[in-house]
Amino acid sequence: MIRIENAHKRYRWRKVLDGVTFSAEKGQITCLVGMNGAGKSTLLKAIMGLTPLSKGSIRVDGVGSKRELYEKVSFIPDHAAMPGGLRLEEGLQFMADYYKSWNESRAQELMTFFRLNPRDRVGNLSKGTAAKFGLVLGLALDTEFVLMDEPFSGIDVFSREMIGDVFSSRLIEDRGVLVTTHEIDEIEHLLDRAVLLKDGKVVRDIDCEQVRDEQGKSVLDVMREVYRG
Amino acid sequence: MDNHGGWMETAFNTRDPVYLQVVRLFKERIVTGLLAAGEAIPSRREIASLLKMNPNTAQRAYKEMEEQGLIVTEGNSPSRITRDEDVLRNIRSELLGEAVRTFMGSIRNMQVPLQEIVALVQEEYESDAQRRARKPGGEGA
Amino acid sequence: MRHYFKLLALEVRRFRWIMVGMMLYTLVVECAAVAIDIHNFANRYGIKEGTREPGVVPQSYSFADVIGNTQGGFALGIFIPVAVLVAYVLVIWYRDWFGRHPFAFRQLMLPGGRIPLYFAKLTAIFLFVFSMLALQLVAMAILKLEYAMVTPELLKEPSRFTDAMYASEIFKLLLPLHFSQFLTNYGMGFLGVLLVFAGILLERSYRIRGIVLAALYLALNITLLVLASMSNELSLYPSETIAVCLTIFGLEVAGAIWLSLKLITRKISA
Repeated sequence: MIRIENAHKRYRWRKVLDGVTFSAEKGQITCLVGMNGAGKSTLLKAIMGLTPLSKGSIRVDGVGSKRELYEKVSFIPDHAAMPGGLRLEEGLQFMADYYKSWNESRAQELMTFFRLNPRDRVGNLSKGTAAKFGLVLGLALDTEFVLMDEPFSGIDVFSREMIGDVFSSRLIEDRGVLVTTHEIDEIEHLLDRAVLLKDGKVVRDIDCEQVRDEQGKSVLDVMREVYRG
Repeated sequence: MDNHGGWMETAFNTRDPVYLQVVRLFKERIVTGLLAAGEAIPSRREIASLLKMNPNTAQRAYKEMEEQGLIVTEGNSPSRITRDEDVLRNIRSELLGEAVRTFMGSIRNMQVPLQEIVALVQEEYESDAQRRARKPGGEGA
Repeated sequence: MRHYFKLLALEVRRFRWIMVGMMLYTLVVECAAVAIDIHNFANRYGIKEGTREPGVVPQSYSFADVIGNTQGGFALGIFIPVAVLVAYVLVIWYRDWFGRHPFAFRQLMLPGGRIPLYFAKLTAIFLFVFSMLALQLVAMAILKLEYAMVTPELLKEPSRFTDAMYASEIFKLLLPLHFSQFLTNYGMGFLGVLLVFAGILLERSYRIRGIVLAALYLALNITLLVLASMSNELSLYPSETIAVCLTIFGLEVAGAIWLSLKLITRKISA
């Protein structure tokens, strides 16, 4: 479980996070929903130690140190996070060099699945292809949690479908997934839970099937209530 | 599995619980004969990736189907469609009843006499049967 | 340690073409400067054109003379690489934060920790600086060969290598004759890089506020250094002055490294 308690973060004078508390369970797909600038990416970065919180705490079960954190939680930002001059195969080698949890055969499998050319250079990839490569880097790590930042934004429809397929595959099974998005369509029916952020606070924390079951509402309906009302 | 193709055409709506939509999908396939009594069905993991859904939801759907007696799982062998005739009959009448109720709902306000409806249904039924006879195999999923 | 060397190798790899380019540039500019200078000198006596007046005995022109007279060309050949290296002290960090696929995300998430990252970047800068310095020494040997080949026999005069080196003001700076001066120059350079690194990390941690903090931090350190260098006016013994300067230097080095590691491990934002 990843537990975030009372997270506060300011950027200059704006409160990006204003007391956010929620958790993401292992074996579940949890989605952080919010408009642009709602602090979703900041939360993921804070979990990964890529930005400090002004206040609050983050705990990942079974993780005592940063070193363990990066072997147990993988973060897939909305870019490839590699030098543009590197070839994809060199990027994979880089990961293999540093991570014990790197699973080379899975990496190769993913490269084939996404039809990526190992000889291409990172800097020449289109947005969609770069996103796929980012997924290869993140999912080929045998981690317990996977965090994904806006995996669908600005990506062509077929790439979106391919990326969506990942969520129902065994690449994800048994792991905890925390994914941020501001457009829910692609993954709405894949989610276990949705955490809605607004003005730096959690305004709804729902079990998606339960809401459909008991209220006959889609996640999008709940979003409408929150963001349009 | 020889029916991969059939599974992949499913699209879920977002307002009904996904697990119930899966249960419903199985019932439809049983009633239309795509799944036979006693037939082995895909594992939870397989169905999740075939239907592009969350494995947890697949798990929940299978649990629901087990509770309804729709499928049986013995030990480590794959789950199978039940052979229980009562259950299978019930599914059929359940789906039929539902379809009729939906139909009724959509014509309720038109205030049509029963005889007219029966006649219309009969006409539609016969022309549909003819169309099928002309186009063998065109019954659609 | 393994992580550190891997990261260092990567830094070198990412800079290698710029490095090669700078080295070629320096070599070409210096060779050209020397060739032109010898040519001009020879022409003054009409040696090349064969219009030399028989009565005039030409002044000899040693390699040291050539170097002494081509300082402008040398400055041109050295200034740009130095400027590039100075700029790279900043760029080595910022290049990882900007661009389409900011590498900082990955670098800060390596299981080996972030301390190797800091030292890899630091070492890389010094590797580049000393590589350029080594190249300059190699260049001198090449230039001497060039001298031997292009200078008309009549003008040639042997000179010692060190004389040639110190005919140039730039060399006195780059490679001081006295070891203590060498240590001072490169020690200050080292400290300068450490302070700038700390400033960059302050900015990367606190952004706008970080710039202000970095400016204050640099001002404080420079003030301390100036004060230390003025301590010889306090009628201290020379050894005491040196001790004061070394202490301040040591404190500033330790402070900069401590602050940088603190920031990179706890405060920095990708």
